[in-house]
Amino acid sequence: MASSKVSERREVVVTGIGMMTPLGDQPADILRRYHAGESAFREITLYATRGSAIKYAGEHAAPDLKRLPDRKNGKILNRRDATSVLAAMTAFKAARLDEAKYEPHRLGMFVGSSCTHLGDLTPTLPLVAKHADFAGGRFDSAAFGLEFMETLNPILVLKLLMNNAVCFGTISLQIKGVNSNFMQQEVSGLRALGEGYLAIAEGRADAVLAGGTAQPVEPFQIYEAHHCGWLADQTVPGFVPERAARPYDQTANGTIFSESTAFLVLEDGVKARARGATILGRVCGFGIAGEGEPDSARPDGPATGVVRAFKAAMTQAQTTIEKLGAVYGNGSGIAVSDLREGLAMRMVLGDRLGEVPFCSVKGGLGDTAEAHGAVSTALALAGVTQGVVPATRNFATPPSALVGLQLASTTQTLKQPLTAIVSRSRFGVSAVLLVEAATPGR
Amino acid sequence: MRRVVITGIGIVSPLGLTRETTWQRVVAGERAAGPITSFDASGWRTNFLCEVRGFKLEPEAAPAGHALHINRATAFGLQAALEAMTDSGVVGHVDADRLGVSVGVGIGSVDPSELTRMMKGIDVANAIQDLARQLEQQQDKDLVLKNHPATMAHLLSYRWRALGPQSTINTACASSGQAIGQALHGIRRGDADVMLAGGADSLAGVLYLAAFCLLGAVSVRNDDPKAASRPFDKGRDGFVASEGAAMVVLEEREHALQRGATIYGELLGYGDTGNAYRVTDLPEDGSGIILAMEEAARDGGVDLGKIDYINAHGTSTPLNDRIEAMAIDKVFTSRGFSPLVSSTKSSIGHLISAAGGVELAFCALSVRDQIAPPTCNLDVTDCSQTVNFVAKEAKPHRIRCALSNLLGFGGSNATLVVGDAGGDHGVV
Repeated sequence: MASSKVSERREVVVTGIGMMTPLGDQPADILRRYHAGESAFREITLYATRGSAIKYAGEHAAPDLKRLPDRKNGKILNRRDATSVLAAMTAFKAARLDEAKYEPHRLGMFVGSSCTHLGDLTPTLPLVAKHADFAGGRFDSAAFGLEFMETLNPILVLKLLMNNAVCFGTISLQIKGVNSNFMQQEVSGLRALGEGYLAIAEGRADAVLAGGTAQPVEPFQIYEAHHCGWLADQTVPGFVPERAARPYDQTANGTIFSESTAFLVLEDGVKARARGATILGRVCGFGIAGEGEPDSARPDGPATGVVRAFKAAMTQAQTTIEKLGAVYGNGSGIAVSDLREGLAMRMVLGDRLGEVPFCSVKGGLGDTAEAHGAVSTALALAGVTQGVVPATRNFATPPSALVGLQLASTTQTLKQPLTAIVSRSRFGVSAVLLVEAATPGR
Repeated sequence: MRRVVITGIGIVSPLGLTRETTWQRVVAGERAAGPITSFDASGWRTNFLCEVRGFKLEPEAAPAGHALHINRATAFGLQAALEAMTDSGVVGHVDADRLGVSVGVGIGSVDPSELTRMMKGIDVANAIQDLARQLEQQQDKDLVLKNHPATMAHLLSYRWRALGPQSTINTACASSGQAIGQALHGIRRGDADVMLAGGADSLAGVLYLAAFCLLGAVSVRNDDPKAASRPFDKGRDGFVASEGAAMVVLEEREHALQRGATIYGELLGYGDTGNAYRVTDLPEDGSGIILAMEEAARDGGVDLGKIDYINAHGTSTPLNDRIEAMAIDKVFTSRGFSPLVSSTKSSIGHLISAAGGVELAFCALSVRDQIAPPTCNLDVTDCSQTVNFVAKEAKPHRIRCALSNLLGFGGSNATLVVGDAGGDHGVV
């Protein structure tokens, strides 16, 4: 059944971007540095890696806590959430929303966020150890709780809240309308953008800050991912971090994590133009679909959620695959995930398989996890402006099942501005967002 | 506009492991709070909560091969979903790609046995790195999924072959209210014909409860746990932690009618707003929740005068209840309307991220049975004197529409409105 009321939807445009990645904080500059081959990776400095097999990741600059409207919040916010609030403020200012005359309850905020860092539990761990009877496998919860309550600061608890980015983002920018916090692994950021788009298109908000944030360069997430086989082996002789993630390449054997955050200001097109805002692009469709199984259940089959999400997004956008100019994929260098996505893209593109440039920026930027969709959308808008599709760094030869996809290790030309961004979780959900250049005067 | 009805409800709560058991006991004014049995909280500032007892996950509720990925809250959610899906009879009547999942989830909590196992042999001086390495050495990758917020939605998708839209939301106490509201939008929009929506949470964990004790948010009435959750009563001193889940099957109205489904009620409207105030407080003017209530009614095309019952957020915390009552006063009483108001948290405690699912279910059941459940322990209120509280005993009443408020820690508010199944609610 087709989506209802398509013709009544309001146009949604992008008027501001705020982001933070290991390659910088401006989309065009990030793309330039990406294409210049600059490295996003370095030895991890955020925690001691002694004894660990994983020593390299992408780290961005430390958030400047002095920029927070209320500096006391710097004590509550962890690195991820502080970066989020600052990126949201940057996007808000770039869009000049502070000068716009929107009612606070017509402004919204949607965040795609990673889950609570176990690292934030650090202050509790000595207490856990103190009250654990390891030999007997017992835990003295009564004594633990008493000491916990007597010795720890309540700020520890506030730091653990998973909705801090939306909480402190809305407080800092006095956003009082629609809001939510999505926790859907790699799909989170794109889900937030999709919900923001729909809220404006359907008249529930006039402007929305939407994006994703992830700080996977944290010992638990690194170790967990390494153990699950998602990270490229950094112990092999001659390991080069810049070559670690090889999206869609037949030699891919894992990814490399990067922390990143990106927020976009989405706005009613009519209202944005009326106030003279700079239009960076349009969002014109969104789809999300479950796959009913994890990648591990069908490692050599297509991720059919991608196909359904594409169909939903295309229907919303009232467009067809013939108009599609490029696809920014989820490809991270995790072989099974990339294969399943690529097989799905074969189904989506059909006769246009060899015509539509397909890319992933994770080879050069790293796997930005929950932030991926928002980071790729920001870069896609820069690509639309420049008429280019980024190279897929470290890609050389696809596995035989993916032969035919228009992947390239060099920059490709964007011939049609309609661009799709794909995000997917290895546990069975995929999302697609469609963006294009803004049509003057629409 | 496509209309959305409720065709299935499943509940796991401290007052019962099924929808009807829970509802009957809530209407009867039973109270679930009692001393903690799942771990030793001797000497704690608070040593009671509302626990789900005698629970066992039915094998058919979970997808095969994922037993190690199911924590306590997820188990509640899966079980509630089984009851809701069975109740709706929708299986076999909806295409997989037209069935979606939208859930609100909690922060999760590692239980003591896991903590002890994980901490064994670590260097406390360098605890976090060593703990992480310990995890790596234990080859325990199931722990990753077991405690990830997204897992419940994935497992529901696997179990019910739900290939449509999928959402996992955490906005504290507003989580499942938002999940249901976004599911409503999804069906209206045409993204799905059926959505399995709701939430699950469990505060029956050492770290979770200790954290809320540290914040001073929970009642300390250790000498009389059953009297501890007393929303809107002047003696209230904090919420009572709880656990459980509720899932509803939302269905496009024509789809439901064509297959002859039993309809509990129509999900009419959803409003969500942000306070943009403080992480732990509400603004004194109640503006966020006022706007959420007004938006939900407007969204559903519902006259405020047709809202005959409000299931308040009513946490039993001093500030929340006073401001929420004032907000209800402004939206309803000041306009000449006097809906019945109660907080069922007085019976089952605060299910945090699952509260929206449970309380929306109670609204639907109140519309079905034409009865407003009571606010237990409400002796004397110090909140607005003009709010029409249902105190101590359930009240049979004509209920055309019921409204549920959810006010999240962190400032997110969600309000849902449900109307009687046969009503002409003016949705165009």
